[in-house]
Amino acid sequence: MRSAKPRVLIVDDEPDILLMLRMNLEAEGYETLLAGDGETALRRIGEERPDVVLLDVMMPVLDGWGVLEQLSTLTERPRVIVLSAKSSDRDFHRAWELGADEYVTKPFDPDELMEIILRVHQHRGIDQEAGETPATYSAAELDTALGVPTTMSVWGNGARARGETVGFGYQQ
Amino acid sequence: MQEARAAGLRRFKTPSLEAVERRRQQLWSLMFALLVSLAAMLVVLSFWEEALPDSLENVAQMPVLRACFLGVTAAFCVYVLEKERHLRKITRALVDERVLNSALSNRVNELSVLSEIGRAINSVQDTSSVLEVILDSALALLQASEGAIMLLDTERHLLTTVCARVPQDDAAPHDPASHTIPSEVLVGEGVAGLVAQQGTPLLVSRRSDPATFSRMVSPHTRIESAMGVPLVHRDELLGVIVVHETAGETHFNEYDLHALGLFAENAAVTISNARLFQAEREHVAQLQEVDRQRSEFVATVSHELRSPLTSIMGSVRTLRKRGDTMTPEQSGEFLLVIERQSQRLLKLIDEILFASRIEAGENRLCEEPVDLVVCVGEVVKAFQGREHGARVQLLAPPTASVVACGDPNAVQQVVTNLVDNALKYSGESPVTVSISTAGQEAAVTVSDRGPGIAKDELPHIFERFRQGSDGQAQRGVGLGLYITANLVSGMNGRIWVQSDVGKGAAFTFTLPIHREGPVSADDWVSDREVAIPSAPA
Repeated sequence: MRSAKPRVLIVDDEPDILLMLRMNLEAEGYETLLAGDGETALRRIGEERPDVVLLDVMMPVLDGWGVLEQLSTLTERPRVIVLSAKSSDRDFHRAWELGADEYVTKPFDPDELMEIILRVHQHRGIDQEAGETPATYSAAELDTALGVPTTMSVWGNGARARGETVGFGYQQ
Repeated sequence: MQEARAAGLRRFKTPSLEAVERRRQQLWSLMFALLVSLAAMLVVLSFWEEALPDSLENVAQMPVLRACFLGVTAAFCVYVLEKERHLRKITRALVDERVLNSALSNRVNELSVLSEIGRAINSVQDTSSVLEVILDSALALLQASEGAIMLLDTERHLLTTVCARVPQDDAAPHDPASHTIPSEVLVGEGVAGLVAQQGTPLLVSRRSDPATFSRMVSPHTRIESAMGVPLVHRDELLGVIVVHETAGETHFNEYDLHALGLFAENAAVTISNARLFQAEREHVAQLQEVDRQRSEFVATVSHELRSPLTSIMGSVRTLRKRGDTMTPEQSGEFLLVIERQSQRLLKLIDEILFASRIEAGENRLCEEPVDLVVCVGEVVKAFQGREHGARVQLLAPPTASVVACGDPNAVQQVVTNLVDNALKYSGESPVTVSISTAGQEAAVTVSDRGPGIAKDELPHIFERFRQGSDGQAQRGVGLGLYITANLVSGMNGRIWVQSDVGKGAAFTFTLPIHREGPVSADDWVSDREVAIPSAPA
């Protein structure tokens, strides 16, 4: 049985952001793992199977896009929340195409991020109860199975400032 | 209607000159035959009068008959002469018409050449094609095969051949006589130079004025005569069109010179327009590139502002929400994060402001003696005191002091930027700083053993908004090296980079030595030298 609080892997090349996120997550009782670049992130995902990955995009060695590409070849993969300073539609679409679950633009409110992590993780639970092979769901099948739209939503100041919630998520 | 007109035309068709001549010949031969037979008749009548039978004798002696005979002959002569006068008139008219026709067809030929030029020029847009079309048209107009367009280079005061047509001599392709069009001509020299100097058309011919001709055209060429006309647009001399008549071609005359002059007036307008068009197009391309770089810059700046803000805002929120439950060490750490990231923001803003000052030409540097050993040593010591700074090493300088001429603050900023840059790209490998002198220059080199710089990036590395595109960490907005290069050039120094992919990079900058140093032929120029962009005035 999975614990209620998810295990979260934080991937960012800025130590200060790692520190801030770890502090917040641990205060909420989450278990955290850290990675400073894409390759370390992939290794830790393979070894320690986190439930949720907070993924920065611009990183040395292997960037966030590279991590998403690698993850899409896995049969069982963690939920991915992209945390990026890039706020263009093109970046958003790229994340969506590569299979990211949420897209949060920097700077973000840590509390909001906590909510998103929780919601994304809870959906993982529903996923696994609803079907035995979650990795092979098509979007339409998910719609039927879950009764919710399977579009991604953009979070963070960029989207909120524009007063829109560009649709990607599991909003009820 | 048309058929009737055609029939009429056929009926009154102008006789050909040949047909008229034939008629005249026929007429004269008929008259000759008649006179001969008349003479014969008279001879017969006078000598063999007695021999004629009596019955005929009377008849022959009848004066009336003789008179009739003579009368008919005279009338016929008058008719022939009148006819001849008429035919001669027709012949003259026909000859005149033929001359007029040929002149007219020449004019038609010129007009069709000119209209062709107009069409060609309107469809062609880049200057070199326009020049080619103009030259080919001028040659077609004058039925010549050799010529050139030379444009004026006002700075160097000479004419440069931009377009030339020289028929290849198959028999002797390397014959010096075939090199009749030089690539450059001084104003005042030769036909083209003289035309450019005086601004008037010129025709020199070997036949009519051999002395002048040999002075202006090399006598060993196969040129028989040469014409040049100026290309003038709005009182500005653009260049010269030169056309040569070679052996076996139609002779040039004053009329040809006049025609070429008229042609050149139009050609000058066209060349001027084509130049304007090209300049405009290049300008637009330049603006587009600047615009692209600027929008890329804005995107980068926004990204670079967001990253530190994420840490600052996140830390502040965390402190406000969980400050009560934190240990003093924990909250101290968050305060440090806020301070560090604020400094990063400040540095970014400083860089942007500094770059805009450089662009506006407001960057003033003082010139005073700077001991590089001390100045660079301070920077290295400052780095060594920082986290990850231990890998920065200062190699022992050759002398106790190397005094250069420059601004101490700028020198320290340059070294700081170069070391920062090296640290950013070199991972855990050491970064070395060395000081040396050569000739009148002191040099500081910062080398790292990072991934190096790709060959195609090297020429652009000191430009604005440039960043390594090697997938490595990209921090900053790409202004660091631009500012560095401008600081160095502001102190009359030079900066360049040597790099091989996979082997690291070495940035060297020089400053003039303050005191008189020993002169040596040492040279800092390397095969991978990259010139820095000159600072805006």
